[in-house]
Amino acid sequence: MDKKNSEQVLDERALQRIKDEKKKKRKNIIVYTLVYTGLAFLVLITLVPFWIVIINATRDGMAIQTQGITLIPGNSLFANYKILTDNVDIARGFWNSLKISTLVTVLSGYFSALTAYGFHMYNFKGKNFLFGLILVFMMIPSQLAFLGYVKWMTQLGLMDTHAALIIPSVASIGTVFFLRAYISSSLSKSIIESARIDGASEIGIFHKIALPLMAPGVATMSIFTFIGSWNNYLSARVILSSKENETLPMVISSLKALKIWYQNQGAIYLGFAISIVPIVVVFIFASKYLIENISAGAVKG
Amino acid sequence: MKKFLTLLVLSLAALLVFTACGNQANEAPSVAVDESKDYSKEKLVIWSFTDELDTAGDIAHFEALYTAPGKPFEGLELEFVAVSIQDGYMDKILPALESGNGPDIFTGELDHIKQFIEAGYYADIESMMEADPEVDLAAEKADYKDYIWQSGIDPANGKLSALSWQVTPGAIFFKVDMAAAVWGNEAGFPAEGSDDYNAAVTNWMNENKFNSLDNLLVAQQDVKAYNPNWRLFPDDQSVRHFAAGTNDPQMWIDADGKLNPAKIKEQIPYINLVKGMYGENIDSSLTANADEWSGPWFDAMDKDLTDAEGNTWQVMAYSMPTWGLKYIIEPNMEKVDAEGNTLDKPGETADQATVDAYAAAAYKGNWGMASGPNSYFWGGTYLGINADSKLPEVSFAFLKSMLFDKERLVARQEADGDMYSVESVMAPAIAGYEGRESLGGMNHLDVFNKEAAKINLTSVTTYDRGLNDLLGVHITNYKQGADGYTSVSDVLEAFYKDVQVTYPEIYVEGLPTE
Amino acid sequence: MSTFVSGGIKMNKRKDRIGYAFISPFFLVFFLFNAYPIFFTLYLSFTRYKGYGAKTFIGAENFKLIFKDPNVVDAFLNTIKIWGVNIFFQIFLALLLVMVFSDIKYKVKGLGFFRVVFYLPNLIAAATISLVFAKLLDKDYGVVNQVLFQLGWIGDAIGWLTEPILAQMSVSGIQTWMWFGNSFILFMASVQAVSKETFEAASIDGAGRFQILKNITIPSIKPILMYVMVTGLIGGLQLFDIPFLITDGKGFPEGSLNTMIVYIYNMAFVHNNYGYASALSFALFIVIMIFTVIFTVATNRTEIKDFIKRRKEEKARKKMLVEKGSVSNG
Repeated sequence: MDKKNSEQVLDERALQRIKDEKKKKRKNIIVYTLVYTGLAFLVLITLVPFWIVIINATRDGMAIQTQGITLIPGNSLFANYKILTDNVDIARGFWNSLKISTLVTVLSGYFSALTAYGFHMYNFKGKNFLFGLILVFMMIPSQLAFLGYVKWMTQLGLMDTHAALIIPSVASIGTVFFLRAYISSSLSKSIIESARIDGASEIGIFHKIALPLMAPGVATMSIFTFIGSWNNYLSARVILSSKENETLPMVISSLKALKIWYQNQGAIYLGFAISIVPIVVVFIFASKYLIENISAGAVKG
Repeated sequence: MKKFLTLLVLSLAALLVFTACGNQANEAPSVAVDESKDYSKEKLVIWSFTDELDTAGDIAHFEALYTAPGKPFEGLELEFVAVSIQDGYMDKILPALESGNGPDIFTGELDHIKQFIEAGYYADIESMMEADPEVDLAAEKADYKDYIWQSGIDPANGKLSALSWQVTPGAIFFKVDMAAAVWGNEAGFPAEGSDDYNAAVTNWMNENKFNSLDNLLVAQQDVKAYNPNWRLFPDDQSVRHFAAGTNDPQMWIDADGKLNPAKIKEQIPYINLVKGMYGENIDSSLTANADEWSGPWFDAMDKDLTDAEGNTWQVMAYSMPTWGLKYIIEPNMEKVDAEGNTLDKPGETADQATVDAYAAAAYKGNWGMASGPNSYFWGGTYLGINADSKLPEVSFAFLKSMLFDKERLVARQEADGDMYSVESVMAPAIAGYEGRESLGGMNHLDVFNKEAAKINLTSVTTYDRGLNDLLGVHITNYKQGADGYTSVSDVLEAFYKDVQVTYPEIYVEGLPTE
Repeated sequence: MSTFVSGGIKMNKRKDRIGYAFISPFFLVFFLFNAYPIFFTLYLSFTRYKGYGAKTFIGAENFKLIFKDPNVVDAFLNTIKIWGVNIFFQIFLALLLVMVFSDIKYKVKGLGFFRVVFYLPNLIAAATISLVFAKLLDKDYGVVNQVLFQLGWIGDAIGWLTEPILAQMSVSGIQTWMWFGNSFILFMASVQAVSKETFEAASIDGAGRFQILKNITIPSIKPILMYVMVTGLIGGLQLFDIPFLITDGKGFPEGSLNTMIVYIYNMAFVHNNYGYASALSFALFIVIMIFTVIFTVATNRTEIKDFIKRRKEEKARKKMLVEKGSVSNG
């Protein structure tokens, strides 16, 4: 009698557990479905503009105007490219942007590391004052300096030069700040001391030991610097004038005033695509590395 | 550290001192070929706000005359920079000029050059003309239309600083067939097929429909009443040139250097006109709501407009300067063969015969060219020389090749059919002109020449563009029925507030509000 | 600190001076290209200057004008409106995503993938984005309206960029699209720094989802949240590219897209009134500083209270000790 009852009870409990698990699974499925659907929708919204640009870049302008949007690419890619290049010098804009952004990134990275190292390693008079100065200026928005900067460049005769956009990157306040925090947690003074004992020069120590150690931090900031410089419009627009010096955002924005803005929309979209695709591709490859580092920086900073 | 700081401060101070000592005083630059210079190592820099100097062959002409082998400036390099006004021509060239790194030669529209002259950036061309034995100053002065010559004079020394070969009076181009449909039955309208039909219709329109702002409004209503899908103008910007309503407009700035109340009063009928024309969609509007330079604006020149719901619309008239005919309207017109069938534009790979046949074919459209309530000018290009130029003799040579080479100007005029400010070029052109084919054979040059005589350019000030801009924003708000804009007073008061902060030096109290 | 003994202190002092060499390129460029322009702008704000010709000194005239200028208030309000809507949705979306991905019970997969995808809009130049959306949101020919027509959701074309409020919302929306991925990544990183055990313990203790959000997730994100809001504010107040390029550059429609920087830009480069534009820049800067300070104080109220309390206690203690004479000063 007892055995049968306890078996029954056990069975009942097991049955109940199975029922609960099934319920949970069902609930799980509902929740997961909802969540993933929501995420998919968000992804769709995020990517739709990209998709439209890329597809339309391959379609003929008339097709875009009359047939609205479609998921199928057209075959006017080369025709659009010809129309685009007949109207604007997009290749030159691309190379100018590449040149400026690369130089800016390299200069910014190197000199910020140099400066951050200087603040970290050495204890000179006025160090705190100077660093505090940097902090204060970090909070000043660039727009305040902007007009004065333009007039100053005029007086120095640096208007319409790439130099006017490149030289200031030597003093990249935000990067210095970030790197100093980065160094203080990753660079130990004892390594430096032993190198000194070995008779290495200060600058040698910097180049051979400190810089390699700071590399991940520098690399992370560099990617942001590059993207920021690549996308910069306002300063470039005000300082540069001749067509040969134009950067890519300037070339793109000049599309708006052209006749082909309406009459050859395919070419316009191709222009957009050219300014979007390279960065996206580079980013996707570098993304894993980049996001890990942003995360690390976020935690530290 | 102290040493470092001192050094920094000293070098900063030095920099400031040197840059503060700006331009030297102006003497008339020399025009003779400088033997000591090696021109093959020099570079002449020219800036303009269009690429016309390049596409019209002016630069090539100069090079053939002066920099080709065996010529006085052999081997000279020429750099031409075109920055459109939209891309910021003025705010790029002004800093360059101020820092002394400006181009040798630069162009501008009338209000631009007034700024240049005021700032002292232009050299004294008149003295240069006197100094050059090849140039007859008195003859040139007589040959160029007086108001063009006068408009380029520097008030500080009474000498010519900039000159334009163009006149560009504006017109209203309209489709004769549509006009005949709407008004063909009114008194005095020329009979179809009569002699000089287009010219006659144009005259009739000038006298009856386009002669005042009020009549412009009535004309628009006429068109819409005749056919609800027809419109006179594509957009309300078309009438902005007639804001003055008279050929003797007030200046924005009065003798005291302040905002001129009389000019404000003059603008009021125009503001009311714009408000009356506006409708949020085509149905309620007197215009086709096709913004200037937009796709539909171009399309409506020779096609029907189709909107999202499938209705078709037609536009009758466009207000445009003289060069608009050749560069804007004609390229947008289709061509027909002898039977009236539309010809396709020859593609890239078409052979020469097809291209020639197309060029010789007739235009589909049949246009007239009328004047509006007042003559207006829109975008003539003035040429001038940088007062600080290191190559004044070369710059002046360029000016000569552009402005005083009459043979070349005649050829250039034939090519673009534009209105020039040079009598010796226009007189034979007008006399020998067979009439423009797209205008039904009308001699538009003659008409424009008479128009051009009515233009008064002395009323232009450096503030014009900015003030029109500011006023325009509020007129747009008013016409769209924005909050706070219920009457003309609101428009004017908002405008005055803007002027007070943007141009405080011309602001006065007590300006008219109605 | 150092383990050197011989010639010890002097050697270090000399070594330390080398620090100057390390930081001098930075400071040279900094003074010339960062600091000096700021002072120059300040100087210009006290002059009347057309961009060419003379600079006439007019004292505080420009600043007085700011108070009389209705456009300033409008521009400022526009900027705040656009920023406000953007920051709200941006953070809301990012937090939502954080909740989804940090949930204990439901393990949502694909964090790496989603992070990359959501970050993509941030890579594109605002200038390009402005033009792309100018096309997409066009009233008569834009894709968005076309799709809405085909779906039958609307009867008339919507003036995304021609109605003032819609225009502002559109710009806000574009900003959100650009930045929510960035915020998400930053928030996620902070949350991941909190150990899983903490979350699990809380969940086992019976804490509901919102309680976890309130007591664990948000406090751990707080510093980053602050950072995002402050930089978002500073960036938002300087909004230029999108409102400038997406319509006519003058704030169309009805001045709704006239942000502070658009207004300053037009004042300087279209109307050539550099003096007033500089004064406006300066006013904007002061406003930003005030906001930043208010923000920082408001969110760190407790820390600041503690800080003040501690300082008071220290001062009192020192005073007491000095009176007792048991500690030498210095």
